Amino acid sequence: MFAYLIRRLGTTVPVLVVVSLIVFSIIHLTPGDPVAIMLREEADPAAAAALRKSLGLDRPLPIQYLTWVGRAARGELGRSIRTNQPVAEAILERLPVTLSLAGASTLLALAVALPAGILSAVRRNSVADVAGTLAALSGISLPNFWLATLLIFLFSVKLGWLPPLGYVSPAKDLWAGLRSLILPAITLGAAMAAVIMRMTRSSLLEVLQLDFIRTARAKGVLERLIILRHALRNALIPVVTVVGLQAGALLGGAIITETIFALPGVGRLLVDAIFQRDFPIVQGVVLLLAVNFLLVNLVVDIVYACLDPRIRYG
Amino acid sequence: MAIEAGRRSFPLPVAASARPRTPLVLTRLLRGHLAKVGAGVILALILAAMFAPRLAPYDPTEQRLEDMVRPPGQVHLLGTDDLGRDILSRLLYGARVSLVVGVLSVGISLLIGVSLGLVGGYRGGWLDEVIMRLMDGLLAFPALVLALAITAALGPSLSNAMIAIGIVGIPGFARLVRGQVLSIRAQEFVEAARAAGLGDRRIILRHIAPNVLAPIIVHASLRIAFAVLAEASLSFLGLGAQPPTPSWGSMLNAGREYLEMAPWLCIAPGAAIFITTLSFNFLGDGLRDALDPRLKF
Repeated sequence: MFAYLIRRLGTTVPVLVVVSLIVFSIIHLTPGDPVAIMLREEADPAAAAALRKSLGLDRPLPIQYLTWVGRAARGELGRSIRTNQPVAEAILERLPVTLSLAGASTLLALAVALPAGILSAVRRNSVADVAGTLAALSGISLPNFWLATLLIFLFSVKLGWLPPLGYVSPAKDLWAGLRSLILPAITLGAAMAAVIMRMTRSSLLEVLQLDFIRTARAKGVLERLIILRHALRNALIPVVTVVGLQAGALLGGAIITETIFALPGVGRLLVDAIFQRDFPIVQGVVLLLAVNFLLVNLVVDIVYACLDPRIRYG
Repeated sequence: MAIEAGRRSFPLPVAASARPRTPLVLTRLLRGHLAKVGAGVILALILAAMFAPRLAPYDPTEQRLEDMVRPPGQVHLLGTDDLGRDILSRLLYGARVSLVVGVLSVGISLLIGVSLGLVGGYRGGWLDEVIMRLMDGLLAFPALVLALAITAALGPSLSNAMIAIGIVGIPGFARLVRGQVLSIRAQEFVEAARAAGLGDRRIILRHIAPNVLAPIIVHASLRIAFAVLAEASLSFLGLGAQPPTPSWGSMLNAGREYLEMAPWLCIAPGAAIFITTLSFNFLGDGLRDALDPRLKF
């Protein structure tokens, strides 16, 4: 296991280097002078020179990269050019909102997708299975901004049950906080639920055809026990991978959800920064989201190796 | 000379059996009901986009302030927006935007991704290592985050959104093709081509590339679904199509302000995005089933 861990960590390092190069390049991909773009019309030569110096853009490119990556490794991501707030501080302020949204979406997706996937596999080709498969395909194809709009129209505008916008911290007011998270969590969790449901169904179907299940049936074990104790244990291994990957991608999906529901999270910080051409914030958030995605992948692979020894020796 | 003679005497078995046979694939594809529905809707969409100038009852950008926010009716089948523009006409022209961005961005991904995958998989060594680490780096970003980052750098516009979506799709094609090439390059017909003295370029283009076509077709059809959704998402955020270009994503975003009094402004473009994406997913799933070698007779 230790050797596998070292090997897996070894493959992550070059990817991290490429990720840092891509994020660093964002500011240099801009057509024209990035400082002029960031300062827009209020650019006077002195301010432009000061910003260029503070961002290190007056130095050779390799030095710029090494300085930037060295600071980023220490958590220093620069300062917002609009508010002068340290980027790391701005991200940390908003991270709890995004994490609570991602957590609620994951829980909701698991609560719906696992039973639906199991039911679909156990009752293969039944009405429930076809309906479940259609619902899953729809969930994948449904634009989350449209789903959000429909949910707001139904539950906020028509029924008045839930707030259409805004965020209340569950730490301050649990009930109001949960109410403010319900619609965003459904919006963000729908696609995830669809993917988990499909994976649970196909994985369980595959396991149910294996010899040890036939043996269990021949021994007269109750069908319910066969599914819950024997089949599901094995079928859930690939599901763990999908849940992990989806959880990593959730922070990306949170960008649109937070924008629609006016949640002050990291995703909204990114969108606002893009419109304000605040490149240090854009770089900081994109780096965070990519590193998070990488780390989640790493954890998923390690968990997978713990669950399935064949991976370690593969 | 000997090689030339060899080429003439022993026509290489270009693994024709491994290529998808079009009529068989088509028959299998049309056997699936969902794939049929998907293909039908996509065909209708292509025709609607092509003939939008003839089909659209009004100019999609013409503002008629006396017709502001009209509900669906006989004069305007799907109603009008906040500037009095006909929703149906804008939807028809919006189909052009979605399909063009979908196809072109997947074209970018396909061209670059397939080339990288073919070269990396066939040549191996340090070149393959460099290409794959680069692809791993691109895959480390959630798709929409990378598209947003590229659009942020290049500036908000439809063509930049298309480039961004195209770049996001490159690693998927590259990894898919590389994996296929790795298994194909060890097969006998490639060995035979090499022994016959064919150059690397010819082996890749004539003997390997046709054999990786089936998974590429499936992946491309599913990627178009993603590209349509991604373009709509970027336009929804204001980073894709810019006014007055009719785009389904920007139409939906503009309609949200009038959700309470005019929900049709959001329902029509959202449904268009949903149906298009779903149709490409149906078609992609159907193609996968039809081209899956395990299902061959």
